Amino acid sequence: MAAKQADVVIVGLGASGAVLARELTEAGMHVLAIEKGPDYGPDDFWLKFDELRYSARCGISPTMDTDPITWRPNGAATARVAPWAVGPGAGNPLFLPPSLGVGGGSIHWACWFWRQREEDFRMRSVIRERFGDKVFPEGSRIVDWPVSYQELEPHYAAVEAEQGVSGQAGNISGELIPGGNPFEAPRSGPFPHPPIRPSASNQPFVEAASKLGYHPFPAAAAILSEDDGDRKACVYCGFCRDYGCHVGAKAETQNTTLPRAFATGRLEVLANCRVQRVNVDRDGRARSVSYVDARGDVHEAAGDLVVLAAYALENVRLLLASGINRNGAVGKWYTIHNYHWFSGDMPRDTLIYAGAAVGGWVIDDPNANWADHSDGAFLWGSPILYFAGDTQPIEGVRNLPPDTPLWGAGFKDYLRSSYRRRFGMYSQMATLPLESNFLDLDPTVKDPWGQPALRITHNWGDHDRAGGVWLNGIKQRIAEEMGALRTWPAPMEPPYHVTTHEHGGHVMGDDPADSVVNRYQQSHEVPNLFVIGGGSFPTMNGYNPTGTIQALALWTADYIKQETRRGGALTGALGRATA
Amino acid sequence: MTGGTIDATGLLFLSLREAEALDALVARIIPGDAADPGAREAGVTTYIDRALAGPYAEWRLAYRDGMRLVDAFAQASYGKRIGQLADADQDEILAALQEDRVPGFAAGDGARFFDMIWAHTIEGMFSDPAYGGNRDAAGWRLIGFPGAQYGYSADEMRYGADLTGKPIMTLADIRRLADEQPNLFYQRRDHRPPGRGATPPMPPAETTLESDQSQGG
Ligand SMILES: Cc1cc2nc3c(=O)[nH]c(=O)nc-3n(C[C@H](O)[C@H](O)[C@H](O)COP(=O)(O)OP(=O)(O)OC[C@H]3O[C@@H](n4cnc5c(N)ncnc54)[C@H](O)[C@@H]3O)c2cc1C
Repeated sequence: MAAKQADVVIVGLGASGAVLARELTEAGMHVLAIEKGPDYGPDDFWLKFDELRYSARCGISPTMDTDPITWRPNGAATARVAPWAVGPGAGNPLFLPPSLGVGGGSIHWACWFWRQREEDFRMRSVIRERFGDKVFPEGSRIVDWPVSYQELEPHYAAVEAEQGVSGQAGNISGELIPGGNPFEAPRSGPFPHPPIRPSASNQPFVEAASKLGYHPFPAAAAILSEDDGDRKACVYCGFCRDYGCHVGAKAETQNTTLPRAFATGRLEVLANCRVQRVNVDRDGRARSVSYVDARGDVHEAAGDLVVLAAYALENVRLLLASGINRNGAVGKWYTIHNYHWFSGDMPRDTLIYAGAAVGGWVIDDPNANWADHSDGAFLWGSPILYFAGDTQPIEGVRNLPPDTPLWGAGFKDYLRSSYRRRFGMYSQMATLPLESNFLDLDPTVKDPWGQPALRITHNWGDHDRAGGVWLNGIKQRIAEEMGALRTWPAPMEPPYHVTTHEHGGHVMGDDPADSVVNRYQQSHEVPNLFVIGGGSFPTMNGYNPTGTIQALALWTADYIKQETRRGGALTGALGRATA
Repeated sequence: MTGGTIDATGLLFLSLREAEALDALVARIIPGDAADPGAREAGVTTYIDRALAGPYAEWRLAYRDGMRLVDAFAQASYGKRIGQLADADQDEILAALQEDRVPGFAAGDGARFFDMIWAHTIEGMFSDPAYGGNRDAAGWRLIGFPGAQYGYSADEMRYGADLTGKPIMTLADIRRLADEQPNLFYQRRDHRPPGRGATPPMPPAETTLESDQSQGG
């Protein structure tokens, strides 16, 4: 049996794992974090201005040669290694799991930072109250969350403070604040920093959307609009999504959070080490994890508590590879976003390459239960996000309007005129938790270390199409009002089935029979195992998830701190008294 | 049809003949001349050659075989190698490739070869000049992209602003800036403990040497 090496072993030190590690080390616990990717130093992204390396070649993302994922449209088909992620052309990190390394997905994220609306936590009740029970599709599991907005609010506020979020409040303690999102859930206070600078062509969007009766507002960004300690204010270079930040403006947890954890002297990190399984004792408790180091040697690390924070997809893979799935709920209720990309050209230069993507403002009117969904065609809306920055040439040029000649003088004219005038809008239509969309282990495909690949069974459905058609109608009206020269939508059913907003698979719930973790993200099956991240979301909504993922990590940390005290549910779990 | 842009001594993977054929194709995808550079003038073929010699080794045989079939088609149709044909004839061959009409390819493979060359032409034209293409930032100039800028000011970031006069920057310029003014970049006071050596020692030398044998053409 492996000797204990830490109070808590955390697998994955990304957006959520780092926040948890910081909170627990500051509470006096010793944490060993095992991280698959490198441990990035402060100057590692000084030369990040390289679209080929970081975006087109997905330089810091997991790729299919080392981290294969397979996909099939339905349970009868044979899965293949994600076809959209292999091939000779430019790739896109948006259709792979988040970046690897200390900081994880918080390195290359675009930094949209959202609190979910109150309704998002009560999806079943809200839909039922408005439209009755008959609209719930067969084979779906649309539920209320076992945790409420009110319970998470202090944690959202703490995350915003720690990560340095810039934004305009729309609702403080029930009072509507002009200029913010009028649909926002009540906040206990303002954002720590004012909004970042808007995209160059934001104004035409704001004017058009306002004229049509919508309520545009600056999206909250986990990017500094002003200097804060070591971190500098954003300089709007435009190499943002897919890139680490060269001035530390982006909220990357290796910069925002981990310095504090290291300062306690109680955090140890094993980088370039991949965990392969959780070892469960005969008494049903997690004893240790097994990991393989960069040399290929396998080791075991034991702790009193084990936390999986390796992203929704990898959390599920690890649970299944470890045989932790007694009730069969692991891998179920996989949900993702359909972005329904919508592009256009404006009459004048938009500077599509400059500034953060999140510098585009948002309308939240079409989100949640705003529209009449009583026909059941689709049940939950999405915000519409203006997207007119942070788009480098390879990606921009490849986003071809229909009927563009692919070569010759006509193609050159296109290159000369279109990229510089480009703008976009997108939405985040959440798929429904359906029986037909799920994750399991691929029966044949293995990674280079012999571990089974994750298999995704997922297809776009009528619900996603109906929502997309409706949302694109709104985008089209706004674009026309903006005076766009032409517009073109992406295919309703895109070829990819990973959109970096993966949810479900280890859903939380009060009933151990049909969920994987409880409301504190603690495994129902293995009591000293926690599984954190978007995989815990029982339903998905129209927002980017990381703000909620990090707030949930703090909520879980509070529970761990509380319950390891004398008299708590986890008393005795830690060999060393911590309080 | 300008010869002499392929530097034979600098080729890492393609033969001179393959490089000339490829250069003819990319020059028809984004045509140009000295005053208004296209893919040839920007060095896209050099970009692709270097990529094939390194990260795109996987596509070596597809290029090798594809260029052979394209050249054979040019010989059969016009009695010359593709690099020696007039622009209009090269266009015919490019169109045939795109429409999957070049003989010798399995069904669909000719069109896929076109797609691959097209994708790599875009990469070579618009990636940093450090990768061998986009010479003198010709690609970036063409589309109005100022390159690897440290940042943009509020005054610059206005709808309709004309930034064509802004000096284009590349990775090499950023490198110089970082050397000269590191204070412009992120610095972190770190508290990393020495730890137990997260990165294990390198594997023995013999297993790190890559064998090239499987790449025979
Ligand atoms: C291009 C892009 C843009 C995005 N933009 C946004 C945005 O604007 N807003 C937003 O809210 N979200 C955004 N996201 C999503 C965001 O990155 C994720 O929601 C977030 O990172 C998830 O946090 P996590 O802690 O669950 O996982 P991660 O942050 O991915 O952390 C998981 C960590 O575990 C490590 N790991 C994985 N497997 C193992 C293993 N077997 N052993 C050891 N370590 C392992 C990984 O290396 C990683 O460091 C974006 C993602 C991408 C790819």
